[in-house]
Amino acid sequence: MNKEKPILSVKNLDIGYPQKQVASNINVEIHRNALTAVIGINGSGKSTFLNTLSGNLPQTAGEIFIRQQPLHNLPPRKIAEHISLVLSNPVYSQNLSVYDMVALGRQPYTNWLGLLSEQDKQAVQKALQLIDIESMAHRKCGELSDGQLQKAFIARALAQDTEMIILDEPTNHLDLYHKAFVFKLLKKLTQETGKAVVLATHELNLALQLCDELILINQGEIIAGSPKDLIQNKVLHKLFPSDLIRFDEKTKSFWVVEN
Amino acid sequence: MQKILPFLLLIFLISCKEENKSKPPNSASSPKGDTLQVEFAKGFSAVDYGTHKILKVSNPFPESDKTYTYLLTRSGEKPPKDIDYDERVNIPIEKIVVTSTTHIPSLESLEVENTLVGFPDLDYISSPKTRQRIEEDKIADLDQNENINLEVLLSLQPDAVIGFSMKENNKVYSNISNAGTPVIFNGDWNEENPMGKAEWIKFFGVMYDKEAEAEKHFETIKENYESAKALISQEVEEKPTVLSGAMYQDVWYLPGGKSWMAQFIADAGGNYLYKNTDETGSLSLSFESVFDKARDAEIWIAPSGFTSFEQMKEDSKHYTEFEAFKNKQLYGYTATKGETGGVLYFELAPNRPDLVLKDLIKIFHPELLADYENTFFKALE
Amino acid sequence: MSAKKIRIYFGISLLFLLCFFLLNISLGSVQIPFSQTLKSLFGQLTENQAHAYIIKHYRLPKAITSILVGSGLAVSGLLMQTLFRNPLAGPYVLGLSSGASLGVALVIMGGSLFGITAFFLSSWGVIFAASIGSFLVMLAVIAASFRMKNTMAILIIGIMFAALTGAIVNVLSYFSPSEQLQRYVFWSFGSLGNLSTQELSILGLFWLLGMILAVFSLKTLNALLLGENYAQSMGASIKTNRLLVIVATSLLAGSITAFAGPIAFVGLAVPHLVRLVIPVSNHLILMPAVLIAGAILMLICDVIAQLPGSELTLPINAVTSIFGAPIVIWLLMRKKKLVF
Repeated sequence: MNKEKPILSVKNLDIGYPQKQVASNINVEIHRNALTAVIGINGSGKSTFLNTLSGNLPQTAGEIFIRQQPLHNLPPRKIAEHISLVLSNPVYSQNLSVYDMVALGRQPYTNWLGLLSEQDKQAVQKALQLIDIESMAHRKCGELSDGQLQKAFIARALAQDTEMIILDEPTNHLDLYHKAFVFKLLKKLTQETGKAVVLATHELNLALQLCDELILINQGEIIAGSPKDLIQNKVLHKLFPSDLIRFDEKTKSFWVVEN
Repeated sequence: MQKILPFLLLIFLISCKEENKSKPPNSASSPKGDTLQVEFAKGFSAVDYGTHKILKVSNPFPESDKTYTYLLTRSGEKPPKDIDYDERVNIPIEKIVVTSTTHIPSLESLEVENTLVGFPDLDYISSPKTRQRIEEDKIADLDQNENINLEVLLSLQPDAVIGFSMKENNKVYSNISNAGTPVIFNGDWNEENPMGKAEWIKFFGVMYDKEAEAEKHFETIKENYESAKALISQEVEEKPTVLSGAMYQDVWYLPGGKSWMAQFIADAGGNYLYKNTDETGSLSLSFESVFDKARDAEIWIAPSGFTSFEQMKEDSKHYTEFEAFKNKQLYGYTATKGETGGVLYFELAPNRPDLVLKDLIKIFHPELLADYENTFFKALE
Repeated sequence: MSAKKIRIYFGISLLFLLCFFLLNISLGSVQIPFSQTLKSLFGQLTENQAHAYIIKHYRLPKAITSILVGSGLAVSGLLMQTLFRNPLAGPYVLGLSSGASLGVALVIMGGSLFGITAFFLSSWGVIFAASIGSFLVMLAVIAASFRMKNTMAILIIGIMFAALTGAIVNVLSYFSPSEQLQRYVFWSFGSLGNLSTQELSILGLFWLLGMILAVFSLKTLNALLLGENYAQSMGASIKTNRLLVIVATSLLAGSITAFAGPIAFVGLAVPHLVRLVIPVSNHLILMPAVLIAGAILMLICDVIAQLPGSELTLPINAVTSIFGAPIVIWLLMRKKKLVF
């Protein structure tokens, strides 16, 4: 385990809704420089978990600490300085330029009108550079492909200048090349900027290869650890019903069972 | 098809009309009848054939060509069988329902007000004679004109309902008619000539077998009117400029140049500023054009429903800029009300053009009628 | 768009606004020479007193009303469209105009039912009734907004209020004598030209309050372009902002409806027109652009309604829709898509 103090730590957390418990007794820590993938089948509660982490959904029990402060006590404005989001199914205005969209990430720091200071402009420029989309800064969101749009949204999260970025299925709707590209990009970000990146994904094979930590959600149970530990503990073998998909330790990947 | 349909109907209507002209009804069975003398009114005619009477009402609604034929028979009379009619009524009428306050003075003048058994919204009635009968519960209230209470009306079993309607195909009246109670339309409010409106007393005369009384009454009014009008033609040289109406929001509603009111103003020796317009109904003009034209008008009559200067000022300060307002030359008729709030003018004026004319002469040329006391038009407070 | 280009756009549109303002004042039923119009405006003596009065006390207040009404409705439309992320939203989706209509209908047509006194039949009475009506609907919507997590649900509630109040108005009209019904119908046609100085200053005050609140909501409205979840993740307080926008819209649209009647179309269409003409979505630029465009559009509509040179006028509510709707349809057909 990392000796450094975690950015975010989850203690005995129960997540869910008043009528429906999704998972209970979760204990996880998120550290600097770590790329963490949250994995589970559809409906397992990945989004509920991420929504609770980002403060959008109140927890049913337990506590989330961000830099030792209880998350649920913080106003949205404060949380916005620690955590930025990239959501699945993005909404946007067609007329919005990529630059303006990325600049919206500076909102926690701008004045009451949202005017950009010189510092804000630099941060936006840096985010565009990191994602390598400076060339399309003045194109409109309505004109971008899905992959380009996803990059722009990641740049926006970077511009928000938080130690932690949470992404909800950022590789949805992308082709294999762009999926790999986004994973590599996120990996690069954790290494170069020191940020902690948490993403929900269905791309198990990519996650096993590139992520530092995995959080598996399986039928209300949560198991966290590095890919290596999880493989050793044979946790991955139980993730899917074995009649259809099996995990192969040698290749660190899942295979469809052939009859 | 939908576009053609109204057109076809129009052709049909026109052809019907021509047919009527070429072959007057009843000509075969009763070639000779006693035609009622109607001098000014355009909306009705009546012929007494001895065995029956035919009362015709044309254009009881604006923009309609329809003519209604009513067959009136006394008990025991056997009219020829080949008559086309819309309604058949037994006369003289013993029980009647009328729907406009303008019908009431005629009933009173003919001394048949006792036959009135029902009226929509009794509060509008101001005449003391009829109010007395209302107090005695002899007249049933039938709610509002647009929503006459059919059950109450039918239970009264009137011989006829005198209807008036702004539009053709009034459902209330067709329901009454379908239930077996004859509906006779009255178009007095559609007459453009002051004497024409008053002449509708003869319409009631026919139904009560009181043609002579109606004629006599009408002649008296006519003589009064003519003699008042004669005052003007002899002695008046300077005619005051006259404005009428008022604004609702920023649109000014005022009587057209060929309207009933415009004729009164002309006959009373006033120079109505809109006398050269062609409308028979009302004009709706922008504030600024009225202001430009009529700011200096000497006299302002009938400013909508206003009864005081204060009220007008509160409604719009533009009114205060008119000379007539500054000089307090404003005369309205809505202040004269019956005990239950009905405006007397609406009820009585159509029947008494002589009084309206004298009121206006008194306003325009007070010296001509020094001893006369105004009935309807009073100076605003 | 570069900052320089935006400045040029605003310069030009302000110039347009001034031109249409003067055009509006110089045209009307009565033909008044332009030189005399200017003289009257600047308080110099003119030969024709009646003309001077018309310019100063009728057309000038009417032109100012047009500007307040057009800009106020257009800005509330913009706020509503962004708040609800719905291109069909307008200032009246919250049921404000239906509330106002119900108030006015009760006063005009329900007079006999409730024994309403003469005060309520005066012009102040109608304004009072309209304000109370829209205010009560606003309170109901705000109450709903505190209970609802979903902004769309508020939109539906507003529409339900509109249906409900519309039905009550229908029942009232069904039972009303034709003269009262006509008065109500005339009110619903809208009117810009019957505001006294006093009324105009009250409208101006509400307009100013509404606009100030609107300015405070701009930052969050920009965040809302990415949806409520993103807005919240960027530190925006969704509920506070929702309240701010609802109150601003109510102040603007409510007071305008009270003083000028339920004027259709402008609030819905102007934001779309502006988005089609200048491709920005930053509300710091959109709001002033929509404000100016709304004012210009209303000034033009009023000129058309006055039918210059004729003594007749058209109801303003008909003009805004008859002349405005084809323009929006034409622009949409030409661009082949709705930019939102």
